[in-house]
Amino acid sequence: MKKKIIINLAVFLIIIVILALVQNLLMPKYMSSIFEGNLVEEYYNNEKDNDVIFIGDCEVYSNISPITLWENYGITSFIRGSAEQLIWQSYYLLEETLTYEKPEVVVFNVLSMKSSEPHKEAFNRLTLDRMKLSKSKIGAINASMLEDEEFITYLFPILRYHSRWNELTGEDFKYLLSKEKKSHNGFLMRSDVKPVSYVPEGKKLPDYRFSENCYNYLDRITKLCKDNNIKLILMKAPSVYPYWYEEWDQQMVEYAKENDLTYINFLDYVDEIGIDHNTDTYDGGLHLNLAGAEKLTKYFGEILSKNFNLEDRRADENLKKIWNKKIDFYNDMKQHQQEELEEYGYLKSYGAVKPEEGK
Amino acid sequence: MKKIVVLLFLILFIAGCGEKNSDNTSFQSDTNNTSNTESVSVSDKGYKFEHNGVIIKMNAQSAPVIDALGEPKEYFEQASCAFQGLDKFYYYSSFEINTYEINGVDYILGVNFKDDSISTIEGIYIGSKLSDVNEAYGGDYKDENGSRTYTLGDTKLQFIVENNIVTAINYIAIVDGN
Repeated sequence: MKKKIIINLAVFLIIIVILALVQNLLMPKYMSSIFEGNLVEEYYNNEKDNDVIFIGDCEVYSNISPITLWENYGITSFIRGSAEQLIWQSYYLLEETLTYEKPEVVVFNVLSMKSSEPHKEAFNRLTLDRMKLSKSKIGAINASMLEDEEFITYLFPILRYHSRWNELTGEDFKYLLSKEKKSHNGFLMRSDVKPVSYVPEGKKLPDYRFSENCYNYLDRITKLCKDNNIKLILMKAPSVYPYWYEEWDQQMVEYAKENDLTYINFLDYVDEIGIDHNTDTYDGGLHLNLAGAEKLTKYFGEILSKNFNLEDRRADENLKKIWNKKIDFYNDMKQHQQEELEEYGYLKSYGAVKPEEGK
Repeated sequence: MKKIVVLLFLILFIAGCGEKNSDNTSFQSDTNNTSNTESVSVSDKGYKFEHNGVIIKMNAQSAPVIDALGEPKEYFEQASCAFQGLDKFYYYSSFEINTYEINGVDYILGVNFKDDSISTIEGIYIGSKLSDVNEAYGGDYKDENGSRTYTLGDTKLQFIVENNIVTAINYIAIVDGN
């Protein structure tokens, strides 16, 4: 009888392992394109000793360089960003992060206040698929799902990706058990340049008020930080598009005032930061490139260091050892990107699109 | 052993069955793959905009429309976060057209009026009264947060109204996530 139980248990475990492997095989790996798919997952293997956690969409993971923050101010940080991260996802990612560590400061990019409802399953998947199973993940799934999505496909992604079997490539097998790091503590590096050529005016909107749903989650983020004695900073990155309306900005100014928070709209400080729209963006002003991100980070780092009393920890030998490795990886990628730009004229291995002839 | 084999077959069966991913979750679709024939169907039943004899249908391919309209005053493109594909904006003197991309082909996503020098085919322009809108488009609409929106086929026609006067007009294609 005992032998039968052990055998059955062993069979059950083998099945689970096989299922897990098949699931992992079928899930997209994001190793040769759409590197954003790795951002959420890369946090888990990182050291949980961050002074600052950034949360938000591409306006954080493209525009802030944690390596620069460390090198210049000795401040440790991680960006828990993802593509088109919606505010409820930011809340749950923050909630999850706080089960691992308690930073001194959380910085939230407020662009997602403009999005009151889930958009596309594809973006949900980029944020949620690689979140570890937790109460926070369940909350994030429930808040994010579109009408035609099914909860169980987020718990068991094999149910969603099973039809990828005939799209599998060598990448899926190569990265079945482990993947290469693509970000720098959540920062996706782009060294290429595409200057701002035209800045469109915002289209007239019927209503400029942010939704109740978004304010609800902003309140929850605020409370979560207050309850954990964490200083919350609201930021708006200096992206020229999507258009940041004056009416939206005013709402954030008022919210920050009412809740005793700091709100920084970096669009107001573009000149002071030294951002040059001819050289500091890789996509015509939507996101900063590496040069622009380093400028913004140095500017922001000064604020974090002086106004938020964040200690310069560069003298800590353990941290120094950890961050020196990160710096090496950062510089290696910087070098590699320069080489690709010289050879191909664009970042072939980094998700850039080959420029059209003559453009 | 027998159980393991049976269950392995079951796993392979589950993994293999089901339809191919629909385009909106095809995360790593090759935008250079021109053999993918998926395209957008344009409903003939929908609001159209006309300018200088050029009919602009939502969800129609944009290239012939832009060719017919001529060189825009300004052009802007916005890469979609994480995905290859560009949303493009063409600015003419009194309106703008924006497009979305599927498999390397651009389609009309919307037309936004910028001034009162142009009107809809039904004769409504920026500055028209709300009563004119009612007369032109009838009673089947949705009022929300200062806008009146009519839906026809695969299009929406949105009028932003302040003090019963139209202050903005937008044609919007109905696509996933829009």
